[in-house]
Amino acid sequence: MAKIMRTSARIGILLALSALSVTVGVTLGKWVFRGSSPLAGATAASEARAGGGAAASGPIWLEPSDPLDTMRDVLETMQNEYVDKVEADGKFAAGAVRTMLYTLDDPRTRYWTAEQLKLLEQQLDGKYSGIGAVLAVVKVKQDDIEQRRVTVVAPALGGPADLAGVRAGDYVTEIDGRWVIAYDPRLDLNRLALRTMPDKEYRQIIKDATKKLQDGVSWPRALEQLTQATGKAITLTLARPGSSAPIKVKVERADVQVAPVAFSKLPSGIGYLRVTQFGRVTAGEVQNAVRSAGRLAGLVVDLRDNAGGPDEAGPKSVVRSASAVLGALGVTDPAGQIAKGSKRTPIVASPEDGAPQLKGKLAVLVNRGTAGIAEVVAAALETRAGAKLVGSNTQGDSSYHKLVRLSQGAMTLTAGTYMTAAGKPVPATGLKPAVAVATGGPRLDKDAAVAKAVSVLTGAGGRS
Amino acid sequence: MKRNDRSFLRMAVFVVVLGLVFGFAGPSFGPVQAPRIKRDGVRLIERAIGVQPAGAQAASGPVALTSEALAVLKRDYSRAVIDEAKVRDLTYAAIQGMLSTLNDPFTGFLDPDDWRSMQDTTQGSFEGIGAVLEPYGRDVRVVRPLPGSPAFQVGIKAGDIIFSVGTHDDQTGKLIKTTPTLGKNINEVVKLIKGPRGTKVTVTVMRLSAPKPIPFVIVRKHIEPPVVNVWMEDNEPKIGRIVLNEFNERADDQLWKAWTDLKKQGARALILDLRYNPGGLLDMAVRVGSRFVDRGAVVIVQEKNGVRHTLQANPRLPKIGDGIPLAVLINESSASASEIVAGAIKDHGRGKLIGQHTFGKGLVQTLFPLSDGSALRLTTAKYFTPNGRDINNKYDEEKRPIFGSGGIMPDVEVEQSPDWVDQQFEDKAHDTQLKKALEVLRSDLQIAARR
Repeated sequence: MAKIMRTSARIGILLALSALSVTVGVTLGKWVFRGSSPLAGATAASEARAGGGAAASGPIWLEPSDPLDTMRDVLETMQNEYVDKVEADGKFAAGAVRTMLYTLDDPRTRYWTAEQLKLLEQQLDGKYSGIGAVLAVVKVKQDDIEQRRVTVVAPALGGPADLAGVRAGDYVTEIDGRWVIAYDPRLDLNRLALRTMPDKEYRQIIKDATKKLQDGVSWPRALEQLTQATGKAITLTLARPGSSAPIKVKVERADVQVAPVAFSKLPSGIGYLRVTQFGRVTAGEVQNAVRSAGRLAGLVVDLRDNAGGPDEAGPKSVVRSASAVLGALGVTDPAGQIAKGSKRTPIVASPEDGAPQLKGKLAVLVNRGTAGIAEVVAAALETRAGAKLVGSNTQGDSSYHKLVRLSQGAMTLTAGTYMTAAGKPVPATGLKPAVAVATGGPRLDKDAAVAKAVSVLTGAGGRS
Repeated sequence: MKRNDRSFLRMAVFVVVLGLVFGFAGPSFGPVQAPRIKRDGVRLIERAIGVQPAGAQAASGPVALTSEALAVLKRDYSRAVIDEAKVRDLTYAAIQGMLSTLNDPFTGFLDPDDWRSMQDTTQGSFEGIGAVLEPYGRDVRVVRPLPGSPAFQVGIKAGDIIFSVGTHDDQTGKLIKTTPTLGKNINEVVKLIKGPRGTKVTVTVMRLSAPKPIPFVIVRKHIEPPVVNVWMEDNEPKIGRIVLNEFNERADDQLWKAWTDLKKQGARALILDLRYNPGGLLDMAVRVGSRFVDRGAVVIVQEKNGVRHTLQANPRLPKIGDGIPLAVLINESSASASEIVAGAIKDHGRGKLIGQHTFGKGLVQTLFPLSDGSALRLTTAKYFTPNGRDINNKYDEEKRPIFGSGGIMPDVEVEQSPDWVDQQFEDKAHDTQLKKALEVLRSDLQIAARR
């Protein structure tokens, strides 16, 4: 019946030739809706009753209904009545969900098309395309303007970005000289309009701002260019927090595979364990490392440029992977929590049955590329296993976000807040290491930060 | 079962639609039109039924995916409560997103607020600032301020691009918040600008000639725009002028009344001023066209699947001017319904078009009210001038119309003087286009007199 009434409302159709304009406070080009007055609506409804056996009363547009029914109606009308042939392909569905999630104004909550999802999944498996980096769009407030900035969460070890000197936390402000549109540049004008300056100067500023916008590249397009596998090198302009001048680097684009776990025994008898990703195989490889290491004088756990990543149900869960790693490294519960409203879900350090548990002193290397679940792991190792944090401040990304597959593509969404073992959200300024060492990402040789961590464990210069 | 019901109802819908589109629901269209209606009606009904199952099946895509995503948000999203109201907003956004993939700036979704305010506007009286707006790429710009309106009085001009809208407290009048309008759709901008009479709004505009955005603090007023303005433009010889502002339901009546007035005063020639007329109802365009064209096509409407319907001039409708010299003033803000009338007059050789080429919009939108108080505005047909010319503009990547790629060309092209006060139809001293029209008509009258 609701359906019948809905359809009957359409009898109020009128054909208007669009006055494409709208008169503010006066008229929308004076559309005249013969059929849409309450009277006409009632007439239409009674006609429907005669045919469909339904009874209608009252103003039909006040009927509460499922908005999805409205969407269904719109879609059907569009397919049946639109002037051009409407192909029933996936673009309508993608367009719908993309726009819907976009209105939440939360960069972490977005839609991924099947192709985008493929790239993301590869990345979660350690395979990077394009410049080789985990990228995110973040909201930044600067000069009172809320901006969306494309940020390098962490470069992939040994990838083109890493080799070119791109660092975790860098903002990509330009690609091949084209501004990555972070906000409406006219907001600058609004601010400047209040200042006195010669008209000529101001005119130039408007011209520049307009050009900046016209030549700019939107951030979805920027992400696409940065993850495109094609070999052509691109020039990036980077804004690095703490450095006032923009940095220009030329970056190749190539595929790079990063092993999520690397282990070696250093000459000093200290173990070095690098974990760049909490993926499906991470926990197993960490367990193997601990098993094969035997007795160690101490262990350096390198979490630099471990970007965390969206959590997923099943074996790909980053939280599950992190839990197993924590278990293998001898952490006692609780290791952390995920908070959503008043609900708290514990992150349990879970040593697997029979799996070896590390005993010994720990140092954990962190930097600005240590983000999300990696920060929870670092904090847990510090609080629950007595580890010393060495390096520079972590990212301060407390957002717990999920990846959920849909029947077409996927979505990510913010689904909670990461709390550390101390029961507090990961601070926005990041975790502050006990032993501060300025450091970029892991280096394959002559890594000063590793040397520092080792010295902390051996007591040769650490403050322990 | 349900599907059968719907098919039946769709049939009813189509009959009514056809009644409105092709029957013109009035007594003035004679039996000439009647057989055509029936035939078209039957064909269209068949088409509708034929499309139904495929349409229903394909319908599962966007709706199902939106429904899935909503379920995920309800279960997992942590930054806001996804309650019933939020679900509605999100779904409306999904509908907008779905429609936006059509890349058609004239197709859109009106949420219940938008739709209600649109219906309010059709009642005749409004409260606002009195500016006609149009989408312009990612911006919204002013087509014209209505003469005498608050927007007009403060100095807002045609072509001004809305830059930001400042919201004031209704009680204290204090500026609360300034919203930049780039990227907002026209309905959102209208919503920001409209409000009860006596309250304030700050509209900041960008103007090519101005070095900085110009803020205007405007007190909203009650506005009732005239459909036509009429006066005797010239007394020797007597040349009348009718400014037709829009094609609403009253357009034809008012136009006819205006003409009867002029005739009584002894007008020997007429200027029909369609500049800045953004259009309106299709049937009104055909009626107005019928006032000038004796018989034959006023416009050719092409439906989905390429079926064409010729909308004929009603030969019984009393004609305006009965062959007296006619000049039609047009410019690039003469759109849609104005272009139908101008095109019919041009193709039938009834009068001379003077001014600049028209906007270039040969598309028909239908409004579909939906049961929850929202509505869909959908492009459902194209139209061509009687000679079969497509007047549609092409659009660039930013959805900006490429002016000059469509529209109707004037017979006598006249650029407007830069000194003309925008849309000040009374500013005759600087109105180069008007002067040209008078010149053309005077010479036409002389030629007629010599014969």
